[in-house]
Amino acid sequence: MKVEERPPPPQPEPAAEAVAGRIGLAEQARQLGMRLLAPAVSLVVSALVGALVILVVQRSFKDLSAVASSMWNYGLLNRSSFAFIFGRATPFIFAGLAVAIGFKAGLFNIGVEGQYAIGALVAAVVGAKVSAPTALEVPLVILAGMAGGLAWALIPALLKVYRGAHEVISTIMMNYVANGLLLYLLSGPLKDKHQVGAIAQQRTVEVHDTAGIGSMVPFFNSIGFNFRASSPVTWLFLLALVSAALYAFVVRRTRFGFELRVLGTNPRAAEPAGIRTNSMMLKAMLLSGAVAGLAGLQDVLGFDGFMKLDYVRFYGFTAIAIALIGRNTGLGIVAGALLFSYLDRASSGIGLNTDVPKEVTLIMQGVIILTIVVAYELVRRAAARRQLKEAHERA
Amino acid sequence: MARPDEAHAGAEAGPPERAGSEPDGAQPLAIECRGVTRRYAGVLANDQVDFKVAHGEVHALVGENGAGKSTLMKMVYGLEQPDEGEILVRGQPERIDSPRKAIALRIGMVHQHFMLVEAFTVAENVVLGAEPKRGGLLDQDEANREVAELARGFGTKLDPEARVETLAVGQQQRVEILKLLYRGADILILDEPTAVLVPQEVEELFDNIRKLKEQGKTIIFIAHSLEEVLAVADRITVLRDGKAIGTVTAAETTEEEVAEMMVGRPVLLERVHGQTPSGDPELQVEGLRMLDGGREALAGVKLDVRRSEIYGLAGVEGNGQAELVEALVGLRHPDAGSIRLGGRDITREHVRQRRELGLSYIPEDRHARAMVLPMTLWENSVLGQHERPPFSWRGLLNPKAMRARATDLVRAFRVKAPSIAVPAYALSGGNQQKLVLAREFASGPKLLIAAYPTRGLDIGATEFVWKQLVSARDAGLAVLLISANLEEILALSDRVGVIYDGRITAELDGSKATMNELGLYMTGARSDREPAA
Repeated sequence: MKVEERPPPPQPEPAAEAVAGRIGLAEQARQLGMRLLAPAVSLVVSALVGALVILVVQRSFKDLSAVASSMWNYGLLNRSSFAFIFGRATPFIFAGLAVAIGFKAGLFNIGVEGQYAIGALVAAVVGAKVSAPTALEVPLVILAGMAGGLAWALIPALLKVYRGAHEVISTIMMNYVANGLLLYLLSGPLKDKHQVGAIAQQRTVEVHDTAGIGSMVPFFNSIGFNFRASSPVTWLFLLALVSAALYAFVVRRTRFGFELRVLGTNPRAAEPAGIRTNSMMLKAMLLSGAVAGLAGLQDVLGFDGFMKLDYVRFYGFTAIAIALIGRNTGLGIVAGALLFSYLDRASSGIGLNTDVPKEVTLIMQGVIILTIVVAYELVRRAAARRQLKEAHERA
Repeated sequence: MARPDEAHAGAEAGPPERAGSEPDGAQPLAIECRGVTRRYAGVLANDQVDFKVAHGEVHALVGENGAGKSTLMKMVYGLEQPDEGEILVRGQPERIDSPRKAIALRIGMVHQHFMLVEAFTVAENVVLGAEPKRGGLLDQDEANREVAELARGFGTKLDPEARVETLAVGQQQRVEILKLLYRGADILILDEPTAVLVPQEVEELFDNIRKLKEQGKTIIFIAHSLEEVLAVADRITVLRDGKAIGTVTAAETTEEEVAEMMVGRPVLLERVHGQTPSGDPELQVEGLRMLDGGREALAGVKLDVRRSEIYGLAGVEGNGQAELVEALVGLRHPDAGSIRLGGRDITREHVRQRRELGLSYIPEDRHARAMVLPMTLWENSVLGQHERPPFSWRGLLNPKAMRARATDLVRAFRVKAPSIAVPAYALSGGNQQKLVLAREFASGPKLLIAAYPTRGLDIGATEFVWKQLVSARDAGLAVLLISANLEEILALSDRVGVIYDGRITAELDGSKATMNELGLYMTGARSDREPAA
């Protein structure tokens, strides 16, 4: 039976534009405004709370202005500020995307921390063992990092799908296992025993030069920036941006993304719709792990050239906040990553230039996370109310 | 909060002098709403509503979804305040600004969704908040005794020490009523009390209502099913589009009259059988068995549904319907037996394959199973068909085709929606169901499994769904209709099967079967088939 064969409805039809779901430019602008409202409110509130804390602790307006100018001048206007921000944002973006992929499927991947650590270790080992031309070796080590992250997500994924073990518990446990494994491997079997110098570090053998990921500074300087040559930004930043764009595309425009969203929003509706829920959950968790594996590569392949024992970066936990702030959208995660990266940068500035404890930026980060949840919920309710009202009026 | 002892005194104070009699204005009314108006964001939910309930009567409040019944009752119970107009309780104008105030006025309300503590016993739930105490501790024995007495008083057997989670829905509802009685309520508002009950439980509820009426209680109940309303109510008030259309005496009206008042035009809900179906079987089920936690939920089901046929499956809920549907759709695998669709064995196939072979499914719970409420209408419009061209091709979605499909569905089924870009939760229940129906028909199905397709829908939407099912049947579709509503089963089915204790115990000609006959099979009092070996 075909729907098209039905007689046309006798009722007056709603405006074709409304039915087709097209919306005017003014409406689009309004919706964008609504979307930016929550983060904006949250930023303002966190700035105010930060200011208040400084006033309470330091009891001086001078310190407040020193912090503000440091956040502005050192954080943004300094010659290499943006190189630092981009570089620091790179792992944040990868880790944020990893968390978001899980969220989309309704999974809470807390194991990004362990996944990128294992990813980085595997990449470091492969980069040291295999020697090939750069064009081959760089993709190889990147894939190795992804494979490491994926492998570390495999156990929680299988436990979840076949045994119903909650991924929050199993991924947290895997973080501890990863930590223990690293301690053992870096101080034992994988320790570089031919180190030159007085103090032998607990670290892996250095990777081949061909496995190193190049600095992006020359590129940025060629397009008008003036970063110091040693500024920490690598081509992985570009890969992070491309990944975010790819993520946005997959979620919105592919069947996989559609099924992921259905599964994450209403798993009980996914089954009767013919979605293979177990297989989707498995894929989502593994993809999340693989992307997480990219988060640790910059430190190993871009900066140090080896994996070392004091390698704990907490990207995985920051990433949860970033995915939250970015509402699991590609663009939002990039923005959130840049924001957190900027606050880190500003924090060093505060430490260097003022007497105020630099932890004030941590307070700001915390306040952002707290207020943004509330702000998003308020905006969501306002939008839902408006939609219901419109539905009533038109119906 | 009234103390229990006062509460009982209150309950005994009003002897049922006027029970069952017609109001004549001599005695103050139990509840009177005068010109009550309530707006939500510019929409008139109640528009100058006059509503009078006499002492000791059973008064039904009926109307389609969104007619304003719940809004009116929420105002009487103090959950909302009128923008205009006044509410009189026992002749006195009252400002009921909270449920607390309503309870003080001895008005109680049972909501559709029960508010019980599942892990507590019946007695604990009933006395919660007004506990009898001894030495500062809950006097368990006293609570049990009082609650048992209260339950006897309105003709129900309820073990005060039973834990609420072990009770059937009908019994839980009685616990809710007991809670109100314990607090001394003598005006009871029941919000669609029958929506959650099976036919037998409805009968028991009605017995309880009659008992309460004998005790002089005033009962207002919100209802959908007109048959029920006529069976138990003294008078019926109809709301439509927020306005009170009129009040009629149950003994002097007909189902048709009330239906017309509700919808605003004559409604046809009559038997619409086709010719005796002669088509080949589209669905063949043999010896289907399924264990559910050690219990045999399906104990050898055999049934077939032919082309151009509506096969109605009647039964008291919990006799294997849910498991059968899950097995047919592919959500759960049976432990034995076979399912054939169009001659092909699909017993082990995944839902996706079954859908590709022409299975369509209208789930019992549309919010949980049929839609993704936060997603847009156009995304929901292709759910289950999203993997087929033109909606996706080589793994890429085609939003343009999806939107076009959604626009078609919305037009063809007259779904009231502001736009196809709104999330599904912006639609009313009836319109959501229309969209689900439209979507499932649009996949070009050979077999449609419709589980309780009109549950929770108002009479207008029900009529629409019925017509669609019949026209699909006439176009050659095989329809398996599962319903707890015997009216629906008898109105639509060409053949009726009865499921009892995991077996099909009877198969009847739909045009000849009667309610009584079905009732006998449904309760297991009669069976045509030996239990399968």
